[in-house]
Amino acid sequence: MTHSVLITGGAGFIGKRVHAVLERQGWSIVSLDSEAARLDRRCLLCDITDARQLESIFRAHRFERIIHAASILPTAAKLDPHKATEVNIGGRLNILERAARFKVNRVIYASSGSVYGTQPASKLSSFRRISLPRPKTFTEPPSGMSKFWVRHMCESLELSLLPCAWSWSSEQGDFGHISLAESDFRQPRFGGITGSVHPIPPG
Amino acid sequence: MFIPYRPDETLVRVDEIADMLAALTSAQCCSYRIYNSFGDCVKPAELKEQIESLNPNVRVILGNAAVTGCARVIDRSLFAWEFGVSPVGFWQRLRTEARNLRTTV
Repeated sequence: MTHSVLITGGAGFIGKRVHAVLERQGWSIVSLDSEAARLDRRCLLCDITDARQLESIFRAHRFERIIHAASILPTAAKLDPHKATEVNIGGRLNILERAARFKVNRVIYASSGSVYGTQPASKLSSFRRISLPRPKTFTEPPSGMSKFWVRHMCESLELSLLPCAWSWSSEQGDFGHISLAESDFRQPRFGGITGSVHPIPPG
Repeated sequence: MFIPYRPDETLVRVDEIADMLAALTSAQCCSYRIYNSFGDCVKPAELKEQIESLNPNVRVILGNAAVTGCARVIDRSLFAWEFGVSPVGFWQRLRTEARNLRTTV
């Protein structure tokens, strides 16, 4: 049986590369992208803020996994913070809601160091808990905040979801301290996932 | 060769991130819910130095662009341990590619 995966941001830097890897592994892939899809034939033209179109795509496939890589990146977000908010918050909510409703087994979300705010890495060691990044101006991209928001949204959705795991690719920090900062969030909340408070490999 | 980023910015090779996402997709189960990225942090200044030392005929010019949201420090040991992968490493990969290029040209 062919496994099915949805990739959002499928024509982006990460999306098209992960598409190629999964294709070699035999996955059945549906890649979505908005404007960039015009340049990549493997992608369906779909804006994740379009809930109706997403709904029809989810109805037409039975996704086991979602790789959510669609995002308005900080530079573009500075130019159009409204669009960034629509995509990075509204669009992500559209994806997460459908992941929950259509019982997708796992959502993999490529986050970034933005989620920790703009503090230099050397200061992260003092972080016991992650605080919401504060934009300096209204035009500063809501990038880190939206990632932070997704985290909370996943957490609240998971309370009503079984079993919906998601993985977060976070790229920052002194690992031990990050694990402490993340410890509350990492508590296992449902069956099938064996979470750990301190993700430090043995040895 | 032009690399648009400032010398002290941090870059991550996207292919390693893609491999990581694919591994997380294919895994039957994941022991954790958060993983640091599986890749090397690379400074454009180091990249310039390495490329120019591998091929003295190449001159690398760095730009002034800033990187946003990118890793500053990566510890990939958790992912490497759980998935049993040992990263080749960016610099090793670069040297190998350069060697292969020399033998094919």
